[in-house]
Amino acid sequence: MLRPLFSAAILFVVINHSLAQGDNSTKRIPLQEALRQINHVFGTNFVYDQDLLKGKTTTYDMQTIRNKTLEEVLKGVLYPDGLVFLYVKRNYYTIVPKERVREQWNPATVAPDSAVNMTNVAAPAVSLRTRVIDGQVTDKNGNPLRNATVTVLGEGNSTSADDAGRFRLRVPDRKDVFLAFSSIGFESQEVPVKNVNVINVVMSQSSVSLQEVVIVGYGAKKKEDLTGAISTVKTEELNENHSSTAVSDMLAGRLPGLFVQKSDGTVGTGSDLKIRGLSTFNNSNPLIVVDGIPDRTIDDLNPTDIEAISILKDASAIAVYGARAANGVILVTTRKGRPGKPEISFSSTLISQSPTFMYKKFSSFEYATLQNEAYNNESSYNPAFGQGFTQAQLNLYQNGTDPNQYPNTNWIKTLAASHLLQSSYNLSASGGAENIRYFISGGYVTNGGFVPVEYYKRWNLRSNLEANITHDLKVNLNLGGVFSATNGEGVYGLDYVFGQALATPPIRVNQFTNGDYAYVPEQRGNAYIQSRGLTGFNTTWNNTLNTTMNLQWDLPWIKGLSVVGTGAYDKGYVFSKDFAKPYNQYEVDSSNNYTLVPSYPVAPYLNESFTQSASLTLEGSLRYTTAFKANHISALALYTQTKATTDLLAAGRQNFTSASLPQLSLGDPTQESNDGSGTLSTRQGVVGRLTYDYDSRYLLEFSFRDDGSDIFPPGHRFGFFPAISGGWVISKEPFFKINNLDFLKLRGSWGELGNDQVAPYQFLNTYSLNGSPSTGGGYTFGGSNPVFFQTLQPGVLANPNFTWERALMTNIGIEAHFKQDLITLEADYFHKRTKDILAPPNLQVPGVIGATLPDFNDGIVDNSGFEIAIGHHHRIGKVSYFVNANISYNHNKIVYYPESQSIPAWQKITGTSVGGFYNSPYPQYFPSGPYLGYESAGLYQTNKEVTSGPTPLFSTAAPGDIKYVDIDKDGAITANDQVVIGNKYFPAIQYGIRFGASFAGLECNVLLQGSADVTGYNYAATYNLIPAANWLLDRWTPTHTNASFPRLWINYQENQQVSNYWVVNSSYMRLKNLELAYTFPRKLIKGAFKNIRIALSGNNLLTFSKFRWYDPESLNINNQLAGLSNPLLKSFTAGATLQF
Amino acid sequence: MVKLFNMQKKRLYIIFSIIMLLAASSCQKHFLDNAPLTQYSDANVWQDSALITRFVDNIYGNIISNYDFIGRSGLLASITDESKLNNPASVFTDNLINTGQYTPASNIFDGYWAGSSNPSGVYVNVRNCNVFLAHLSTMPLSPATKIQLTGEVRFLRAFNYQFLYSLFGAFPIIDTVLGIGNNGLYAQRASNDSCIAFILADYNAAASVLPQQYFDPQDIGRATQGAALGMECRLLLNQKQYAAAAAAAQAVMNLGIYSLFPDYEGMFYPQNDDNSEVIFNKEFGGDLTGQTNFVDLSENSSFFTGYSGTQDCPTQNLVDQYEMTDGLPYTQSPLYDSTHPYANRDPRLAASILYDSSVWMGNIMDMTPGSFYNPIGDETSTGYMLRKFLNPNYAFYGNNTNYQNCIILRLAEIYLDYAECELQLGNEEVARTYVNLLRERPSVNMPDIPVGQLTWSAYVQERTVELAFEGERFEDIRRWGEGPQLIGAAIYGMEVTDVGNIHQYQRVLVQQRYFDPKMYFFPIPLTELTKYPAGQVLQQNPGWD
Repeated sequence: MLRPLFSAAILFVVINHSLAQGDNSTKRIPLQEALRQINHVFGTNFVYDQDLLKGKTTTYDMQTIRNKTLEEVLKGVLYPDGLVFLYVKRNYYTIVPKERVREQWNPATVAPDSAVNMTNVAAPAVSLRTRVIDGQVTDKNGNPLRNATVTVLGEGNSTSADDAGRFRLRVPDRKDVFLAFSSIGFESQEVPVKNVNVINVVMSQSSVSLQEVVIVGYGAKKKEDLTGAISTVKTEELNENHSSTAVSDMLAGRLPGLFVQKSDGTVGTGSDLKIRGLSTFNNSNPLIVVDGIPDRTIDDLNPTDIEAISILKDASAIAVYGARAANGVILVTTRKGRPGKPEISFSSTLISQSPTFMYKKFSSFEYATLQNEAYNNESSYNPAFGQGFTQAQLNLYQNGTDPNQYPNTNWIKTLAASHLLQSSYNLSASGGAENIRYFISGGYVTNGGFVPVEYYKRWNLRSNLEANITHDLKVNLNLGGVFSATNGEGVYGLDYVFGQALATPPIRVNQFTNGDYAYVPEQRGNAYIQSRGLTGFNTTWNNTLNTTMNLQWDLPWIKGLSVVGTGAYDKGYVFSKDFAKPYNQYEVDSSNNYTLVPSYPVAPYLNESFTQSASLTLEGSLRYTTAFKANHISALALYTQTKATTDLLAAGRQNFTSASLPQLSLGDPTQESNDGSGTLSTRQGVVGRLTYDYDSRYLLEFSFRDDGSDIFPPGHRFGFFPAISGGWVISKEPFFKINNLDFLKLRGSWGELGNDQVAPYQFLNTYSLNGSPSTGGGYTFGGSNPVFFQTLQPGVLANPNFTWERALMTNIGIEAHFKQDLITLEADYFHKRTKDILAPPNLQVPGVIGATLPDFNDGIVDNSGFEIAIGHHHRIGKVSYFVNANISYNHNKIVYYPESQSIPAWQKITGTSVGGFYNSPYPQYFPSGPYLGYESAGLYQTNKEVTSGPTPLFSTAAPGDIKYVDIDKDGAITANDQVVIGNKYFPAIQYGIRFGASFAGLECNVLLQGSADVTGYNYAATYNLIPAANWLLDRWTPTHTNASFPRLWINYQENQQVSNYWVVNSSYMRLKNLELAYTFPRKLIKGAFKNIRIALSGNNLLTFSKFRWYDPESLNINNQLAGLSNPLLKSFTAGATLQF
Repeated sequence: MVKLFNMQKKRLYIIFSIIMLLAASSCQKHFLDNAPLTQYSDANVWQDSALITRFVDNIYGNIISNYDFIGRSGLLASITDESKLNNPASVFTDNLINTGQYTPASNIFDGYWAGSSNPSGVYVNVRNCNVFLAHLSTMPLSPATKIQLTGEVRFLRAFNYQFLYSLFGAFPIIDTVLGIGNNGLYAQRASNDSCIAFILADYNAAASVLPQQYFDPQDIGRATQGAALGMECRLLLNQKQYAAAAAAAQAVMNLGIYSLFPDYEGMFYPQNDDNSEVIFNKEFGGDLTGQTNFVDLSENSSFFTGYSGTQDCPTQNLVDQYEMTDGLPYTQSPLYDSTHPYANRDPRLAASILYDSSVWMGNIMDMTPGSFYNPIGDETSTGYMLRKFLNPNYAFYGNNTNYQNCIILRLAEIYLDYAECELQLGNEEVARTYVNLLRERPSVNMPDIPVGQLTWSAYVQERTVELAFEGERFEDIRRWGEGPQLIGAAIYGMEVTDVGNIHQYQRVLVQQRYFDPKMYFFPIPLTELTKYPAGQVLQQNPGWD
């Protein structure tokens, strides 16, 4: 904001004597040095023409200035040399020769601070002719650019625009005067003054401005000086997308290198985030850092509180996070106040959500017909024992005359809303003066589920304060509170009813003609009653308070050296209450008599659990920044430690006398249970970083973290993780002469990172004392007079050498800007080898060992890929537009996995990808579900094909069944013929294309997003007839042989085998986001509002994919319930933002 | 003013320095020396006699009993002609087995080899036994306690190996605590004789030190001398070592502490846990202990539980084995009335099977499809429901589970084992005596088998009826070599139709089962075999390669 001032200030920073060596108090010292010392003591900055001070010295006694007033000192230092000082604004003075001050400085140019207004002190007449220019600085939408800097080129004087974007500046009354306008995030402009007295400037945004300051680990850096691979998304872009309550959902397609996938549309859940794909069998989740503190959560933040989200991708960017950072880091910074008048903003959005895809369910008649066909295929059609339906029954289903016994129910329509409603409200205020700045906000969002019993509600509070207690002591206090409530069905919780309803065949009735509700075996009850909350509730209240306090003391003795202390304390309380109660459900017999069937539970029960978690992080650091000539050096040394604890307390009672009040004291005291446990984890680390650049042209950085984690054995606890990186801004070289290529930078980095997201304490033989309904275990003796004992169960076998997983990362990047931001390019290539990956030797050590195996530092995975981001920003007349496209590619290969050497080559995990481990329920043990499977060769069409080929797996194989390939060519299909089919369960490619235009307050932003080169396992198809989905209608029959689905089955296993017949291409591209917004012209709204913006947006509006059964994204992440759980959603949003 | 400002500044610096000091002082040297908060480690366990006994108790808890199959794969009875599983193969594996739809990769009983879920697999339990024995010398236990616990542990090791053998046949014998780098890991399957000898040695060692009976409730249910001898008898009989088995049976009977429980039906009720007939059982506790079974919940009609019902449905094949009260088969007896096919039957039928018009928990069971008790969607797949083991006082309630003990070995089986041995050894009269003891049980009261009439098939029928659903039949069939007839059987059910309020009964073929001799033993799980290095892979069971 005051860049010219700062650059002037930097000129002071010449390595020099410090105040401490002050025996020569009457010594003659350069004026510049005197000003530097004044700056130290009073915190005052000066703007002046360097030539003015050249060779000038003073004998003023600098030792005594601490006891004097500023004006006294300045007079003493400057007046003898014929210089005067003029007040610009608080703590800023400009120095000019006495003779140039012709008339009294006009205080109206700036907002005067009466206490330190020096105007009258320095008021001698100046002879040079000057005049006053007025004007306003706005952006393309007419919004004032507060704090934009206006400088008279070649002269020292400059000013900042006020809140209305207005400025007044005195300029020399000459013809060749130019004003330079600059503001962070906007392209700088130079405007000739000529003869006019008013200059209004419209500045255009430069979204990839090189001057932008990017938050990095434990610090901040200008984008042009970065040597690491970092991508950032800003608050404006985040808030284009209102599809969900979760921040992670808003990131898809926006950040090169970030892979975003969502599995279902359950309220309150977000997306799965991975940086640069997968590179370990273990947890591949990135570390999330919020306001500098690791391991916070992202999804429950209020999106409008976020200033920016950066992803740190390469070693140089993440080394400072050492042990937890091998999977990348997501840095979130929340908003801060800016000095100026209070800005109050209120925004509200209303969202209507509906499934992106819903497959058709067929009728009860079709269902019954297909059941018969399946039983007939197995020669087990036997209606008397529930195996199929008689012709009479089929007729009844078809004609619908007996809705009690032979209904046709569309369960989804019966119980689910066609749209989910979400609404959010945010109120924030920010502002402050130079010495104290604040951002406070409150937000509320509520999201209703498909069924009334499910909801998610969240309240967010935030207060971010920054204060300069003295000119060299700064304090930050960030408080963030999240209070959420999630509700689901009483017995089974959230995300249950909809899936049950999808899986229930249409031959089940919901409500009998007499009004009673039916018992439905598939649902163990009645999903409609469950959906209405009549079976109780299961509510979780999650209350989190994140506090971060930061003190920065710029040491007075050494310019550029500061001490920073940080304390962060996060406290969480999770309370859940699960109250289940009985309800009436009936059965009807063949004579139309009704009888009550016991519901689950028969008597109400209540389970409550309370978890408190606390995490205390303490950090202390020394930071040093200095510069001489064009050399810039900064250094950081930091110590950090974290201690995190959790405590759980749970209690329950059963057999409540009444279902009306859910309190423990009302339950049967003889039917009670309780439980409790706790965890503790600690970490320690030392971080160092040294950054050097010459003229922002040659960039160099070294950083490391020596990280200690309590999960490893003594002697293996600490790991040293270094990184080194460099950059070369070729465009700054004198020899570089490519027209219009304004900026070209090459950068590279190398480093080693750690990952410790594995089960702790595997160096100990552990035993747990079990015995409770929740944990199982325990044993009773005594027969009919039972005596209960807890039992001691051995845990994981010890591995005394258990230590860090390490990732070696190399990154090469290029950044180019053509004609400022007209065309920008950023591309990165990376290679990452993760070694010592912790994996148990489960595939090598036979079960006869009889123990749960510990992890060994054994696996090796290579991961490489690239990201390319291209931007184009332009303005034609009043229309400005942009196109930003990014693509991320990753390819990983398992170099070594501890597996048996006795299996055939085509079943080896080594050499394949870790995609199959992704989201595995037991990633540490095995690849997830369908990793190995048979290779299919279509469907058998004739008996001859069955008998002439290799012997099928089962003797029941027949035409219409899936034909498998005899890989080992032994003439029979056996388990030996299975091959790895799970190589591509994680997308190799994700991309986003964002474009938009704005014109006179109208704005349109579009985001296309997609995944490519990815497959999914279509579990839902193999769940037999359960989903009653219309894709089954395309099954093989003797008369319909060109079918996409094999012949139907009930018990036969031939088609049930895991095979690539069910592996589908789940690539997709979707219209992720479309936003139309209008900002009202200021003329229209003058008075009450500063700004009014209304927006209409849509999310996931269109999806293009070869896979059309259900949403391909839900399939992608190896979600066994894809197609059978809460579907992914598209949404329509209307929102308004009012600023006062 | 400036002065004041500076003083404040100084104060702030002091505060700041204190904060930094505090931060620095909390970097304790042992900051990272943590251990799990809810788990013990070696250092705690083997020096603490209380924890050591709990370690042994844990092995009891992991015994796999007949009831442990319920809710998992289905009763073992359902892979024989006794019953038919009522759930699709995608849920429980029994339906795969009796139709031959399985391979070594089909995850059949994989968990019983070395699985870690509750109850754990055999090798997990065996390891725990070996770990106990390895720490024995240093344990702070009294000599008497050491001897007692060693006896229990050796019983438990033998018991687990015997269970493993019953599914997979000969096995790698592991009698030390294996480590990950240990060569013993790749031990091959021992010979049949070595396996049997190993088990016998453990049982003998246990029998020589264990007490005959316990009187303190906190010990009742622990292994006894009788249990060790009785299990030996079962093992030897299955090896067709008739003389040795007979001797073991006699040793059990000579203890003189077991007697037939008069109430055949009530023998399995929770109030009669550990009754006079029980030689060894798996104990189940109350609702809140976590050690419960799913017998009533899974086997009752959904009418009583609102839960998917009737997991294992008895077959007509089994019902036909129950004689008429005159001691004749229904095909020959004048007492048989095809319109009331269940009247005048061996009382053990009513005690074991729910049929049309049975009275159960105060209800007359109507087995016509679509009745309350046999609702569409949850209907029995044979026209029958299981009755044996179920508790008539069961109230569907709370967390659904129930806790009658599962009888693993009872005196009746010893009588039958003894009878079979004597019959095989040519002593028909001795055999007949013991068979008749069962028929004379007060609640059974079936006519004695007359002298000279205990044929092999009469014996088989008696064993079938007495031990129905108790989980021994699969091994019986293997011993008798009757796989094709009894496992590969055509399974029949009883179709009950209502014609003018009169129930009509018709035998209907429910399922044609499949048998291949390789099915006498289950394939060793492929996932286990692939863990061995080439050249050292365990030999698969015949026919399963």
